[in-house]
Amino acid sequence: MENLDEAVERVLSGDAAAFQRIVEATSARLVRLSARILGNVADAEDVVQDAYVKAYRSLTGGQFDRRSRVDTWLYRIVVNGSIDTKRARARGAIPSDTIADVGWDGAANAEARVALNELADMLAELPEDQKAALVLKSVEGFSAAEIAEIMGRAEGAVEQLLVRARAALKKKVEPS
Amino acid sequence: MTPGEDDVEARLVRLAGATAALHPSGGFTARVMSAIEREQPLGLIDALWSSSRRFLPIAAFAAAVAVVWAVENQTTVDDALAVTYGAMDLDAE
Repeated sequence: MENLDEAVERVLSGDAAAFQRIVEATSARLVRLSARILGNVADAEDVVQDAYVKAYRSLTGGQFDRRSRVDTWLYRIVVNGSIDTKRARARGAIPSDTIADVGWDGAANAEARVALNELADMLAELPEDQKAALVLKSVEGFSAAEIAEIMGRAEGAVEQLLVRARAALKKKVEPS
Repeated sequence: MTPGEDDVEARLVRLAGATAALHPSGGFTARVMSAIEREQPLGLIDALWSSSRRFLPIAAFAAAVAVVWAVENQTTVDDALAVTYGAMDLDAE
């Protein structure tokens, strides 16, 4: 993380190219997280690109208050962007991306794509905030405290989201 | 956790592993950097608006104080005039 902090310092001192180091260090995890929430990589790339543009604007505009770590801050922007995109798509404001995902190559990615579809089907009926909390906890492996920081909620509220999400999924798995 | 929740967690853990190979498409970093380069520097009006937003709460408060002061002053003037006219009526009689 020292490298990220150093890159942020350089961006703040006017070295715009240093932002590329932040993108290279974080984009794989951010795209993977967003894809797991959204269900496809193409939409995830759009969300993450927008997140980086917003982050750059905030950094150069002096709006990054450094209360949280750079990567936590980026996670927050991406999670919020993914939730907004999913909601907008549900309202019909953004057409669902049915075009084949770019960047898929090889058997490993074909397998990952099948798994991503399975994950999307499994979580399809959950409200977006429950879905995001569950992905962060059970798929990404964050603690409840970290999720609370990323989602900007109290830890108790995150626990509630997780309990509700798991209960809904359990009901779906075991219909009585 | 109940057996049902165990199943859910186990399935999520399996899917986490199976989707671990996901990665952005080639050239994603270049795409992001060119989107950032397209970001225009702030124009004069944007810059003024951006900095003036910080003073909006103070300006709103000052406007509210000014309105209260104006209303109070108007009432004082009205009262003063009313007394003067009354005094004039008495003098005329």
